[in-house]
Amino acid sequence: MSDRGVSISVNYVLTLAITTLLMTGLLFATGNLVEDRRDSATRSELRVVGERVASSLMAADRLAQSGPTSVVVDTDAPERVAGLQYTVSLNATNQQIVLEPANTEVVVRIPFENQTAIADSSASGGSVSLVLRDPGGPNEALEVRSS
Amino acid sequence: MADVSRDRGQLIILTGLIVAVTMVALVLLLNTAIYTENLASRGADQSGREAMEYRTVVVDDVGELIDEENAREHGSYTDVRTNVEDGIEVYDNLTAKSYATGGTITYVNQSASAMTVTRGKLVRQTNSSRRFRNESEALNDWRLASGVNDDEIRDFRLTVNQGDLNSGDSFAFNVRLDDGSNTWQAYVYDKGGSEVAVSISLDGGASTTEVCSVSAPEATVDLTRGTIEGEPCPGLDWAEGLTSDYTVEYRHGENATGTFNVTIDDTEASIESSNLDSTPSSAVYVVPAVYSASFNIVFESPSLTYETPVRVAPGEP
Repeated sequence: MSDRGVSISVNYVLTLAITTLLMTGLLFATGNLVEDRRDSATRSELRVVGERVASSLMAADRLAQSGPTSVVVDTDAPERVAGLQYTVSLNATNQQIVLEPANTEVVVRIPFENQTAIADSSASGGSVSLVLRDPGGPNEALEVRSS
Repeated sequence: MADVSRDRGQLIILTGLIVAVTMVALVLLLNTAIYTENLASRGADQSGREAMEYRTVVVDDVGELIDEENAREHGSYTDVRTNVEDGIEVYDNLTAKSYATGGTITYVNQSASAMTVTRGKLVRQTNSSRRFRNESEALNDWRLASGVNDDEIRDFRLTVNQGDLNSGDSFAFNVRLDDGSNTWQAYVYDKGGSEVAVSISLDGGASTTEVCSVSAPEATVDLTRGTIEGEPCPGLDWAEGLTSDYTVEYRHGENATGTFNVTIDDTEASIESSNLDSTPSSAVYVVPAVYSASFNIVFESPSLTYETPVRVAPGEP
């Protein structure tokens, strides 16, 4: 008779409370795990996309040095990373490609070196083109455009 | 008690369901990550390199084409020009076909507005036992051209016989450039030990500096490219120190035998025709030539569009 002295109601409430506590803990932990994974997947994917944009930018930069009348370099990239849309921007001052998905704190910056002038510009993620604007003119600069 | 255990079971099942859904989400995310890894491991696009390669190839090949046509000694400038233009067209068709197999469109824009061909003259001596005197053999020191700039003279190649050269650089055969205030002279002489050497003087011959030498019975000195027997000669820097248009003269032409070629833009510079035969002969002569060609080339691969003007003038300093 181990349940002697304990009312059925107390037993019931205690069981329910402990179970709920344990379950909440479990849900919270898995939720966080998913959130963490999501951030790191987004980050690594944006880094890969950024590196590809950087490699195209380098190619465009080299070609732009030969005094051309037209340079367009396309980059293939997924339209969404981890289910999120994102933007690709060129930051001329810091010499960085900035990739920013909507609705998260994650921002990925890829540094680059350039010889040709770079124009601050941005395009929504997916396939982007690096275009030489005003070739041979006073405003000659490489910029990113959606393709 | 039966009621209580059924309630407990519901809570656990619900949680289990939620955890299961979360796990599915996790798997989807990991899948995305795997896709990314796959994207990362795909080779970077090589089109940029290929475009530059195409440009270099066109410039080199069209340069050879121009020099080849010039060396055929056509009778009139129209003939040589027509041949060069036809040659570029044929060359363009061939390269376009070969690049098309790789999925790339290339072409040379030959429309009248995009293509410019500059008239020139090829001054040459092909008789290898002749001395570097003027056409009448009367002058040892004589002028080839005047009003010449660095982008109006190219491919200046001398092939000299080592046995007929002057020993030492005083009184040696030399090419003299004079812009009115400064001079540049390149001496070609026999250094001894069957070596042909080149010296440079920037002060009218008062002091000379040997820049390179080669051991050969017959040596080719390329003055504008700065090579001797095809090897780079770093000190041989054409028209170093000259600031304006200059004259090109031979000095002590009696102290060397051999052949030479030089292509000069005669729309800008003037050639001293009194010292040269006007038709091919066994002396030194001049024939119509194409000096340079400028046109646009286009390279379009699936991921890249590149269009650029190029100027072809092989062997310009």
